[in-house]
Amino acid sequence: MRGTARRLGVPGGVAAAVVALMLLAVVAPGVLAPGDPTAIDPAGAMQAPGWGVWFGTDESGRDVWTRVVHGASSSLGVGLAATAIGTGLALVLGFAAGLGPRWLDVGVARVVEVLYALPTMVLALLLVAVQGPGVAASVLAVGLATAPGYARILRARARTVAGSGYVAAARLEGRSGAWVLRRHVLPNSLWPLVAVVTLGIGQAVVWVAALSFIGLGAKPPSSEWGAMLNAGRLYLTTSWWLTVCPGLVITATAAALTVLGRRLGRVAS
Amino acid sequence: MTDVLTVEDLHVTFGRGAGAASVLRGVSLRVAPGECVAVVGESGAGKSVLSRALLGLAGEGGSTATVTAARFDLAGQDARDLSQRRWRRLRGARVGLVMQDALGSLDPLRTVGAEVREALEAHPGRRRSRADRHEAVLTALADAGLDQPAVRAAQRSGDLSGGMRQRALIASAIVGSPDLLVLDEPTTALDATVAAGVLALLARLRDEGTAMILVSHDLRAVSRVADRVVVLRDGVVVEQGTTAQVLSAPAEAYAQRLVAAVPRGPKPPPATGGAPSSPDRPAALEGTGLRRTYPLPGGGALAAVDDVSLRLEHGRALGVVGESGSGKSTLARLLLAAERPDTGEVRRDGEPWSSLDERARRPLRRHVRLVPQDPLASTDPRLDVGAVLRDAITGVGRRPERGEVDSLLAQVLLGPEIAARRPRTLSGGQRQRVAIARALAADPDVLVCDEPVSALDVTVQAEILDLLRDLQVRRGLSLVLISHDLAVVRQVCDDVVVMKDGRVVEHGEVERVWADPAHPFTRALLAAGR
Repeated sequence: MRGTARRLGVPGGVAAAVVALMLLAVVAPGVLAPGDPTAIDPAGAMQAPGWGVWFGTDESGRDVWTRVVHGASSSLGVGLAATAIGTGLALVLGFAAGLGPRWLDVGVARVVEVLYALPTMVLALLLVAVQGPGVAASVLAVGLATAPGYARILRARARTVAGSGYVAAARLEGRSGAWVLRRHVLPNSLWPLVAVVTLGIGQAVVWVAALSFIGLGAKPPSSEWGAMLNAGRLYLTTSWWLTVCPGLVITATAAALTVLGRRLGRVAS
Repeated sequence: MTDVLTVEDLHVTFGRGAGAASVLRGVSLRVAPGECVAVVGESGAGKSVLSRALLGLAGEGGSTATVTAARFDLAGQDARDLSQRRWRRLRGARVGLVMQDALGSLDPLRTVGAEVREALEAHPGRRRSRADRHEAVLTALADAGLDQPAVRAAQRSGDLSGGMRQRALIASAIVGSPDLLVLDEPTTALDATVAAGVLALLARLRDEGTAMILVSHDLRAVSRVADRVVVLRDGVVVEQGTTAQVLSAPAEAYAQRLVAAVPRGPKPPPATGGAPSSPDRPAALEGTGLRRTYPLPGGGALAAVDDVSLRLEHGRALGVVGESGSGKSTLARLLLAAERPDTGEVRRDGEPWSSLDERARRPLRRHVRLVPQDPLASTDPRLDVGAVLRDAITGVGRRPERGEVDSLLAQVLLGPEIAARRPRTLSGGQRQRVAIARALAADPDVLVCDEPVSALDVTVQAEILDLLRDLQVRRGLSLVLISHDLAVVRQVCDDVVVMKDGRVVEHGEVERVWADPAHPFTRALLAAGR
């Protein structure tokens, strides 16, 4: 464990700290921002960032810092949910293609290619057209859009491991297929995915925020970060902090998860 | 006559400061025209770094190297402070390099002729007409011993066999008629009979006046070409002298160990663990009429193993010898029941073996175990040695007893501290010992060893062969030893099967075959190995 910490290095440590802070905001937002994210105060509207109002206030006098912290659960939660859908689908597709019979591999490859061919936004528009705008549609869209990438990685990895010398050796030692799958194939295929998925959460957060920004995800009263960007857009020329502050938080989250994912990837290999 | 190469007190260091690794420490070397000097030593001795340093290439490949020497004269020039530009002029024209990996050194998309011609064209000072150059390329290919040089020049490296590729590489090194040829393990990747041809070619080039440095770990190869031998260990020359002197009466302790480790002579006593074949006891493994074919790309089929029958008696060791592509590894897989024969059958202890359903065979697999050629690839990279051995024990349905892992390690002469290590942090010899311990965990009757020592240094190889012999006697194991090297087989085995093109061309007791080979191929194999 200490070895892992050392190999994460300073950038990895900082990234891990940022991610930990984000997780704290998700689990217990009151610790970081004790106020009420929906409390309005017309007298104190449009305050620039300053002492006590770190990120300023918006047109209704709501504290932007408090809203950003309380929005973490929806933004990050949506990112996590989307990634969970993506990896869940990828696990099924990837292992089916990697370990299953040839016809299944070919079939899954077609499905993955079709999913790949549709840009995330197009897929999201399609889903929104079917379901109506909302958080569920954007989560599903981002989940579906990320699945083929993970599925391809898993398929390649599962095939490599299944064809490896140590799997052959275990079979020659009289081990059953199920035992080999549990002992060798699953752990060796999944560990490299941890790093990729960490990278992917950051990307999913950005995508979900983007969908909210163009009005296909969470709606403006919500303190989801993309929705906040969208609401602040009207005042971009006069009150920059309404867009810059949530934007910075999105960037920081994505960057921290990316750095952490890269580092984990290096530790894994 | 003046020496082509004179090196005195050559030091090569990688990295700087505290992390600096000194790879060559005070190497001195001289080579006269028409002389072949062999540099021998085990992996990590600095042989390859030396051969690269002699071409001013020590710093290639990422890490920065610091090269210093008291004297470094190459073809009449002081090569110590040559610029890269001057070095390039020297390489190919005055000094040529032949690398081990002939496949990797040739561009698969270009013809052999183009590759060889490039060596000429790199030297604008010697520009000749197109026809002249073509002529020179064909001459070089013919000199390198390639039949039909005009045909070979038009082929690409993928069309050539391993031996032909090595010859093409030698052609590209000699086409500029350099004064010095540096050869880094030129025969290591080749089959014995092919290697013998390449060595004969080198001897001819040497007799024609080319000075040579032959870097090799193979003392037998060296003895056929080299006039003098330099023994390198940890970057230091520990012994040098004429070939006869170093190989027959080495003075220094390490050189003595190196020479003594070369497999030679018959199996030391006790010659056989098991009784000679008794007709009433069924063979430990018996294959009859085995045939296994693989489909070839573009139709047709290759019979990797073709109508092979053999018997492995209890307590005896059977060697399977052949060159690459002879089907010996496929035969091993058939004996292990890793593959099913197309026709024929393998029986174990008189009972069905290859014809069993995998589900029925699984509990019996404990009796027949594999010692693989590459033990590293056969272990899960996540697991340490202890976990690998415990898996091997639970695999036969037992719980690992206290200290059982330690005692398994002790049987292969490894300490208990190895259990906590990952295989990739072990040396090649230690890994092979772990692989043997892993096979022993099942308490098998038969060990099938597929080239167990071919990737190991000669002293380590001798230790592993000792261990196998010892285990065979002590535990009454039956052994199948697959090898390309008849001398290795002779050290361990009682009986031998010689394979060529999927067929058994000769079989019998090792000493009989060694003394009186009946088949021409066996004779060629023996001649190449001596």
